[in-house]
Amino acid sequence: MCGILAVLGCSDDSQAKRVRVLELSRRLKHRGPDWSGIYQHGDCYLAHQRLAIVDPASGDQPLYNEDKKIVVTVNGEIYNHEELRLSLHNHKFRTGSDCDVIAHLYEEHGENFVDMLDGIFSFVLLDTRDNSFLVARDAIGITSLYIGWGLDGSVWISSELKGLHDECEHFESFPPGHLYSSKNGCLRRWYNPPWFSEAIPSTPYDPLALRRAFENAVIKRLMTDVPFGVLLSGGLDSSLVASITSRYLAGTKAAKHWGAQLHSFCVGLEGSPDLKAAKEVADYLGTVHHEFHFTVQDGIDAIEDVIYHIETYDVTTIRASTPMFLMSRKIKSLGVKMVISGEGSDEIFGGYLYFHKAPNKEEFHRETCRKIKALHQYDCLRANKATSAWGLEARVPFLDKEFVNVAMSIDPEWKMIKPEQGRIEKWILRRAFDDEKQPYLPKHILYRQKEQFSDGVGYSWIDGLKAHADQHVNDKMMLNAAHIFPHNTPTTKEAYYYRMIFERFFPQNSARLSVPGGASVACSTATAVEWDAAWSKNLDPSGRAAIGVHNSAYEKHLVNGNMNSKIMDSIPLTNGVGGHVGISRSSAYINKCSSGSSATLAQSKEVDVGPSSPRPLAALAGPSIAGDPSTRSSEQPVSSNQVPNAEVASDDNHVLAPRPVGLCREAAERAEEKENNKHLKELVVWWKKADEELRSPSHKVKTLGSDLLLRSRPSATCPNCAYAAAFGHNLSLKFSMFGHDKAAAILKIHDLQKELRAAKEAKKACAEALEQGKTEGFSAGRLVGRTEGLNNVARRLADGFDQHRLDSSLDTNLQPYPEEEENVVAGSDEFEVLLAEVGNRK
Amino acid sequence: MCGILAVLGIADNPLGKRPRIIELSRRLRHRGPDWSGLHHHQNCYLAHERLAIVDPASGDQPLYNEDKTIVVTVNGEIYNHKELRERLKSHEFRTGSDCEVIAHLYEEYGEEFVNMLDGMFSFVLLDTRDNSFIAARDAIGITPLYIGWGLDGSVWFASEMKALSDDCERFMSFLPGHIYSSKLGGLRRWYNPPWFAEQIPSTPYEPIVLRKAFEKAVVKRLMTDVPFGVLLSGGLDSSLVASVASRYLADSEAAQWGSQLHTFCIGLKGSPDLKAAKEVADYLGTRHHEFHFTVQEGIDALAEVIYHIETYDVTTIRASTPMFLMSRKIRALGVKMVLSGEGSDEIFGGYLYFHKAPNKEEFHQETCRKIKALHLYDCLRANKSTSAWGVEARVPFLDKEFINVAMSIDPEWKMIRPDLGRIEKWILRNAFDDEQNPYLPKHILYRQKEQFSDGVGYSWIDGLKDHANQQVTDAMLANASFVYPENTPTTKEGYYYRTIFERFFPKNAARSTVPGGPSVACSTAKAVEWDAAWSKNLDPSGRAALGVHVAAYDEAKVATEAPAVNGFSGKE
Repeated sequence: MCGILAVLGCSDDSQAKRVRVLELSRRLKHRGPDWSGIYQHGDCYLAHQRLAIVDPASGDQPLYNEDKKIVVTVNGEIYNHEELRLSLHNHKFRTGSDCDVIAHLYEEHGENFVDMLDGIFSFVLLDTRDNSFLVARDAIGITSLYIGWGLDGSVWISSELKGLHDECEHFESFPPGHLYSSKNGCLRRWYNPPWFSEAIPSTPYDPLALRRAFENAVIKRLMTDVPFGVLLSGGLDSSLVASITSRYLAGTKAAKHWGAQLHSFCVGLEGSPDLKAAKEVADYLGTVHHEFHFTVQDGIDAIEDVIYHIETYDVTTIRASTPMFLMSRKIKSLGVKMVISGEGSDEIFGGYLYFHKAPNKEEFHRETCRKIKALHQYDCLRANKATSAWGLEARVPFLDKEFVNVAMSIDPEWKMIKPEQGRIEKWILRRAFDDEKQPYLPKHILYRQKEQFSDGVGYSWIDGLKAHADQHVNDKMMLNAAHIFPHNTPTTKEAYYYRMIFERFFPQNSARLSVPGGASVACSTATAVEWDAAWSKNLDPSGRAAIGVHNSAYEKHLVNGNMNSKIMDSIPLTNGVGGHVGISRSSAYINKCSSGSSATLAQSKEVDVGPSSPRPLAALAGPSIAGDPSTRSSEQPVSSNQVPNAEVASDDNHVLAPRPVGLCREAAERAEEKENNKHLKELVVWWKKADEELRSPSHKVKTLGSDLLLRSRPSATCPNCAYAAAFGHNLSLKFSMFGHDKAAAILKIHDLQKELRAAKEAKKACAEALEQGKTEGFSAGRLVGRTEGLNNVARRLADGFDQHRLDSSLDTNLQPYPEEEENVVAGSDEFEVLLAEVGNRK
Repeated sequence: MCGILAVLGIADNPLGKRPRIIELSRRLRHRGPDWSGLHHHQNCYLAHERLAIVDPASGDQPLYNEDKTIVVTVNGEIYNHKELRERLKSHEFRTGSDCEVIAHLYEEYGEEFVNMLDGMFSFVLLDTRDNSFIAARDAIGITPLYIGWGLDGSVWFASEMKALSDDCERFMSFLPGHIYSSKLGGLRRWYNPPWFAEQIPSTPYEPIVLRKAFEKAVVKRLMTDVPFGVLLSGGLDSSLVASVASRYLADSEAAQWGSQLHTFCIGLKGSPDLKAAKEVADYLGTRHHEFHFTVQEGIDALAEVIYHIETYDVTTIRASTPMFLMSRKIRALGVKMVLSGEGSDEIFGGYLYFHKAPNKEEFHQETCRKIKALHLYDCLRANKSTSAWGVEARVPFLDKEFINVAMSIDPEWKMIRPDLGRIEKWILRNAFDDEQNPYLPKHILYRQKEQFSDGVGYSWIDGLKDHANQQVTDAMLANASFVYPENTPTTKEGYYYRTIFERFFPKNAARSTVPGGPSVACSTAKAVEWDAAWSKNLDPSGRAALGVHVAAYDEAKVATEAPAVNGFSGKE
């Protein structure tokens, strides 16, 4: 990235003004540490801070056409510059810079050339022949750009807010895909792809076409004359980027100069999920992998800097930007100037968890469109500014113009999340790269469920932030928040804390208006909040609110459903069976989080923090769970609907184990309620033990999890444990171990009957329990509902499998995995043992 | 280079001070862009902005001893750290950083270890066992360091003035070769070489000894885990550094970055330096990088240069600007460390005014004075204008041992004797005059000095003057002594720089950190007495002494009665 600043028509051509422009341009120096340039033509100034990626030797800016009549200052990369050069064969180019084409294209085509550019860019072009100018920003807003107006009639353009906010009377974010022309003095949109109208497309899903399109997008971005790498969090998106990059690196110019081995980077608190996941992918791909560790204190110390750089007070953005900001510094210190990153995929494919609740494909599609249109305020802003703060450029292949066109023309029916057909979020992307012969990624990574950036870096990160904010913001301040910050009023102490810092750096009204606000649940747009009535009551910006839709959360429904609703209310923590409810955008890590005792403890503190502290489970789980137990059996379809989701479990090995832990914590809290301290202690001990065990290598966990579950089950106080063990545990064990496909196959091929038998037995046990009357906290009716749900599950799985096989016949074959069968069977046995125990108890 | 900031003994609410310390430390981030660290202990903070040169992976600072009771934040390079580690066998080291020895040496030897360090350094060490601390700066002051005092009784140390100037009631440059100990509560000099007393030495000149000493100094400085290069202006000093470095590169640890040496030169297009450097680079076969700048680019950078180098000294600013611009380009190439030729002119009396030294005693004493003042001039320039972009400059001529060798030579040998064919720095030139295995072609080896700011192109200084003339009116200059009673600027250029400086550093204490006084062509005030004509014509640049340049000797035949046409004759 580079930094651009342009002041046009300020009626002041004095030395003082020049010095001032230079000074302001220096505020963007972090974006372009390599060189700076300024061009002055009368009262128009174009300044540039350069990060040299292509043609470092001669591409200093501003750039000119042949007779220097047209001057242009650009922040960006034009990937198709070589083709464009060919189309301009009668022009003479002064440099090898990719941005050089802009001046010449303007000369050739006037203002209508912007759509010919393929890449990321923001530029200001000054035509000195008539003193007109032109400003444009790329389609999605990957590069940052602001526009402002001075009282003297000047127009200001700057890559970051800090370049112009002190000088302008009004300023705002320059809308992406737009063009500002001084001739007609207004903004107009140059970017008009088919998806922009939000009409529902109907192209059938073609995995290979999608794959090709994405591969092309990545390959394009390997255009570099300097060392580069990929940001690898170990999630699906970044792993795909890394996989493709390393596959195609060898043939590129980049490889010739900097070696054919790919560098990958990951940041996290020590022992964080991302680090582990990324390592696994890096090992698989054979990249030179760099891990950076930071401490919560490091992060907190950097917050001010982060807010200054990314220029927002949006809570999730700040949370996610900080680790990225720290990592960028380390990456840069290794001499790497460019990284490829995975942003955008969640928006295009509806990867956020709340998409589970999309009522129909039309809503689904429109929400993805809205998300893409808002990207420049969230993930693009983060990815661009957090890296640019250290002179690092982030490239985002998912937001390639062509790729977006391909992906957004697919019938959204295919993107819908359909657990019953085995389609988890972003299934069409996963499927497109599911290549048996030449696998891009191991299956379990390819089908791993989403992790949000800020959770993946470590469980205690967000808790640490909240704890820190609590120390600096008191309740009185919160009471006055609406008066102090009438616009986008912060609702949590954390938000208030960020806002204070933001206002210190950017006190102008325009600045606070440049940050988006409004209702959102788990990163949704305001419109999507309407998808679930419960959401609007519980607007947590983080992903936890949508917890009810994550597979692990489905499991929890079982649990919570079983809880006495009165208790639920008094212990909002139960949402957090996983521990982190309300903390992150995603609940993906909820399972693991719960194992972090500190996280969970911190969480209990958080409950008092504010209205946003969520009880999403209660709220989101749907009527079948939150309602009165007596109504349960009639809602069986709903619960059965959720069980399968549980089964589309991520392949994460730990997925299962924490649940008992969480359960026991619930029990612990209930015990606490009863002032049964002795019991509490006992539970805490087991809970901690489980926590420890869970951190040990995964294979152990599988068995240990259930073992601990048994042991930690406190006699009669926590029937939930036993119940969960009997049902959710075993079933999800399979899925968590093998991922949906394999598990489905195994079930289909080997064990469906057994499973059904087990279900029947469970049903019987429930009936018995029902006969004996309701034991403490044990809702038999609900149990029955579950059991019947289980029947449905089995049936659906069978169907789903067939459907699946159909789908996968495209380029893969679903294979049974004989070496894993044993486990499954063992799991079933265990199931029966547990079941027997439940029966006995009753 | 790194950036360090230490605040010791904060009186009230030390915890609440943390964000402020972070903010201040951020002002030094250009010095250490790679990572930052902050250690907090009771009412003390040690902050560090790191430029990773040795052990980039693990050497993040602050550094500790084994039980973390001793904390140290260091800006510098300890070249003999491996030997020192050997001596500290009983100690367990946490990192591969060269600076970690400091904590352990302190543990072993108390405060008396500083003289054992060979390198350039500024550090603050905190002993948490009794909350005492020491701060020290290297012998010559290659690394910058400032000390300041807060009204609350706190003591502050910072690599650059900008980090403490707002929070201290008073501050000053930390004297090189000194140590500050909280136990004794004062500064004392730890550096006591024989030359310091300014007594006239008598060791006869031994070319091979001098050569070996310098070669050792260069080789020592090839300790690096990152890409590096040599600043090559094409003059004697930088050419020697480049020659020795390229000769010994292959065997050094720096060779991991390729055995071809990178050299860098900057100038206005067609400048003498560019030409001379190219010639040397071609001779040595280095990978040479030429950077061009325009007078306008230099002028546009002035404010930033002054902010970074923290001085209003005219010659320093003139020479710093090209170096500052070049450092950005060097850094953009991924190079983090450069070797540079500073110090040679001071040690060997290479400035043109040394021609007029009346005798060897005066000559020697002037070199001593010049070395002692280096930290205010060339060391400051070399360090801060490179550090502004996260590039570290290493200066082999200021190697402790090399100085001892060079300063123990009978100054009779250093005297400039046109009658004997000895031009400036003759003993250095002669030491590297190797017929069999030449370090440099003869004509380069015996080329006469260009001042840095002239070498980049003749129009540079004229451009600066023109620009200043446009900005500063005669009326402004007439009031200069009232506006700036201390170190009153005497030229419009000086006035212009001063206004910029005052804008960034408005405090009294700040302007006192910059030296003043009469000077001719970089001489100390004392040496102005060498020639009666000089005191009437105090141009700070080297041109005033033009009368002594060979080119000028020729001219002097024509214009003897006009010994200095205000520097606009001759080469101009």
